Amino acid sequence: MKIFKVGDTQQAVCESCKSIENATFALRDVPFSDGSGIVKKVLVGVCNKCDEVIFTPHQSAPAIKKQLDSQRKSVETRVPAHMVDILNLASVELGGNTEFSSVLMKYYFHLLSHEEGKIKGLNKFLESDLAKGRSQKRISLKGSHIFSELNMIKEQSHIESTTDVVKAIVLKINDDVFVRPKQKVIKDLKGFAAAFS
Amino acid sequence: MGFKDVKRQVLACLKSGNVLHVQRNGINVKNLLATGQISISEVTNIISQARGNEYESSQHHVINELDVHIVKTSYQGKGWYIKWYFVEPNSVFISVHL
Repeated sequence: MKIFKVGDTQQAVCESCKSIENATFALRDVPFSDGSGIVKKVLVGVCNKCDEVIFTPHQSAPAIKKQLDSQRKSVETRVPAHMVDILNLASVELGGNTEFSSVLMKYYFHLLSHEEGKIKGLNKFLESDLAKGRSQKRISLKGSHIFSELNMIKEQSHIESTTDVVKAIVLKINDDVFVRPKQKVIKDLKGFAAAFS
Repeated sequence: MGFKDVKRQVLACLKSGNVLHVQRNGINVKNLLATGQISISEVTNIISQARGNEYESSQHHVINELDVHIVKTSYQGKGWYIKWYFVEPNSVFISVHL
């Protein structure tokens, strides 16, 4: 891995100057493009001509990720009360206790974001009657990958709202465990529940 | 430069770590490589398996004489969009997203 130091220089396009310019590495506080936060004292390339940040070296990626993770490590949603009941029932059915419900959700977040084809049909759960109801209870999920997995699921399923993703996953769990039991999934989850308890 | 040469050059940059990420108006949260949400080795795998018909190039929108390289490919069931240009000795990534 090429490592740059403060004061080193590299060339890149500066869109403000509309030319290829020398840029000097410096530590700057740089906001995220979506306004969600600031990465403090991160190594960036600053255009020598206009003083704007024009690039980051790859060595800054872990520091950027750390900041992203710290501000996005939890996914908070409000859902109809029966959604929490479904999660608790599924957890108990699988041999866990109610605390297992967040592990169960995180398992599905990972499964749906990483395994080919698993996300297919997720949207249809939002059309069911169980998807309806006043949002009266909170589901909070924490983990270092949960936010990036949520974004991957949103991209692939075209479900835009975080609450809808959570609702669809709860209803998929209901489908896999109770409605049309999938023996392989249930077996895997029983193993997790046993290890977790 | 054909895709074979472009691919060879970008893979060499990824291997040596000569990798920069374009930033304008803040850190681009959609660039999954710049934000550390995927690794250099994953991007290496994605570009390695891309074929010539999944590649295109165009002029840079600011510097006409600079080629911008684009790979749109499927990897492990996901569609990837990767865009970069070369300024020696680096590959400068503009976009790496699903």
